[in-house]
Amino acid sequence: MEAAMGLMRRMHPKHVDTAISALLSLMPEQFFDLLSQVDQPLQLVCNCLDHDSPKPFPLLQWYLFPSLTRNVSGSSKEGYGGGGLIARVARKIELAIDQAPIQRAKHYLMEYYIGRKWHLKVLCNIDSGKEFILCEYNREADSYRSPWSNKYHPQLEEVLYPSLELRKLEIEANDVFAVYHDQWFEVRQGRRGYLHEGEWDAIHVIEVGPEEDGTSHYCLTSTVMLSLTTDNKSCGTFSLSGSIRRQVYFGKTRGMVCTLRWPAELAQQDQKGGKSWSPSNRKLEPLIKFEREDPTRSKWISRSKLGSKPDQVQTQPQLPGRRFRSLVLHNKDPTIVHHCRIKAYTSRLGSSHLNA
Amino acid sequence: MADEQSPDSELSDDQKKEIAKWFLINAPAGEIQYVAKDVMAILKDDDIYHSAALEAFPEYNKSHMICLELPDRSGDVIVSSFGEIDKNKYLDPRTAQVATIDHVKQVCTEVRPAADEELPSPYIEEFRFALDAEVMKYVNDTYPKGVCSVYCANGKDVEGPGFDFEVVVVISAARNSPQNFCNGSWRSVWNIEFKDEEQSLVVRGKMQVGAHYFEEGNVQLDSQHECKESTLFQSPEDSATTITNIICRHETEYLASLEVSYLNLPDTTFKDLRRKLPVTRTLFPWHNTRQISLARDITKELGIGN
Repeated sequence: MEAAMGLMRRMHPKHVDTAISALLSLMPEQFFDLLSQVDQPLQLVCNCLDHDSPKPFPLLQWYLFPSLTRNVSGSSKEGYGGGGLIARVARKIELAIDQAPIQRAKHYLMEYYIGRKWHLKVLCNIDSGKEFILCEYNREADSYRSPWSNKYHPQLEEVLYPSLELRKLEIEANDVFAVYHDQWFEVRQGRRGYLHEGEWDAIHVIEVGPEEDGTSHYCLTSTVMLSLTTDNKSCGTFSLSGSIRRQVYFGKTRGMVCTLRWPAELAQQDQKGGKSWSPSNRKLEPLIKFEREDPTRSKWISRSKLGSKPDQVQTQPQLPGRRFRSLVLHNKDPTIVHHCRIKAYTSRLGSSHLNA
Repeated sequence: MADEQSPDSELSDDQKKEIAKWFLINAPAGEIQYVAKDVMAILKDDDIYHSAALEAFPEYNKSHMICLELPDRSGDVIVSSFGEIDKNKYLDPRTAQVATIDHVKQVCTEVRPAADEELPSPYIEEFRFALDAEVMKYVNDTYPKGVCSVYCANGKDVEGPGFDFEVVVVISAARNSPQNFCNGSWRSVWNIEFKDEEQSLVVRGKMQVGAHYFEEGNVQLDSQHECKESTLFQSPEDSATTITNIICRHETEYLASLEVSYLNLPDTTFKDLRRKLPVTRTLFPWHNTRQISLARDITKELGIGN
């Protein structure tokens, strides 16, 4: 398994699909582990049955996994549902999403569940005029449940649906994310034409589970998969792609290019002054800067070695109206996923707050 | 649950080998040994791995134009199809030696002087030698770890004026620092056709740059560019200077344009993917989404705005 993840870290991100299917066929016994640990780019295959022009928008959806209904409604002492929870979960997402450089998310996928992970494989379909993402999160056998109508397509008998509270949460979350998506991903017509091809896929999975002493455990796993290609006469094709947690250090590959061959002016300088040049002399700015309103809100941690010790950070951000005991980020899946564990005081986030 | 059926039948050994080969060949620059280790661990079958490695490594080594030190430390040999004599033997034209390569270990095991029929004629060698000297000077000045080689690709037995021939300049620079999670390579191949009748040279270049950054992720740059230019057929020395200037100019321009591409990323290219701020130019009001959706619904309902 470690070897498989090692390979996934090295294969070109544009070959993720091929690589994962190759691994699956080589190690069928690891089928589930592989699928749950490797995020794949989302595919948008439009079957536009109802309307001719597919929406140019990315899809932003929230799924609740029906088979977990029992767990959630059964074991939870908290009342799940209501705007409070959405706001709360959304707050956590905001910490990650707004701070992370998530560009055009073709789809956001949210899942609210306890303890398990599912693989994502996304298509899109039409449901009463509305597209929805087909993925492991809403799949049952060969059918997929629409988050809009709560129906399975094709229809299935004897399947699990989210409980009423969960369904309510799902509807509400989809409303919230519809607005979020309008705000961030409104597509302007008439591109500036810098981009030849580009994709931004992001998956955010939130796990929420009650722990002892009335505390809750939040776990957010975000993956961003980006690829872009520019094409122009002077520089031929320029293709960058990758998946990474949080910051996109494309500056790193740039630094590498500069160490391969010195840029002209520096090479000359080098000859004249005998000064040696290394990429560290030049400041490589992160290409995407976070918008950070409130420096206390979140502190992203320094990077640590891949696959070795998990990243750890302890901060005590004082959020207005919310307090966190700690914000611990750690690296669960070294290749692509980042994991954010947020423990919150239930006294602040408990049912009274939830149902407000 | 839906996922009971795991993938069907067992793969045949040939299929496994093909998969192993695919992984090896697609390894990023300088990382094939790491990939090989992982592939071996997954296959759990040394025979299949070895037969895959035997086929994949030569292909990878040649396409990445890796450079290996000669055992007598007299220089480096670039493993490329231009210097290939047979599967394991590669010519180093500068030292006029033939190196025997262990592809899988990526080392040079043996070296012998090249036979006369493996080398170009004195007439061609004059052009090749002059160009090699010029290009080497250029590469030493511009590439921190660059290696170059000049081969005769066509017409190596041409004895004097009156015939066309072709030489190839190969520049390969790699920089691997796995401890910093970063590897990269620069490869450029310049074909120069000496056209006797037209008394012209046609220079065609192909540059490929790759970089892999994999700390907590997997980000890869892939970039390539091709160009073409012609010039006059001159004496070996003058041709060498002209060709090297052409190469230098194109490579400098290319690097500069890569820089421009990077600089354009945050301000232009990324903006084509996603806004820097929401439409409202304020951060998303998570606590107050209803207001926005209400406003949106009203706008839609009344058919105003858009």
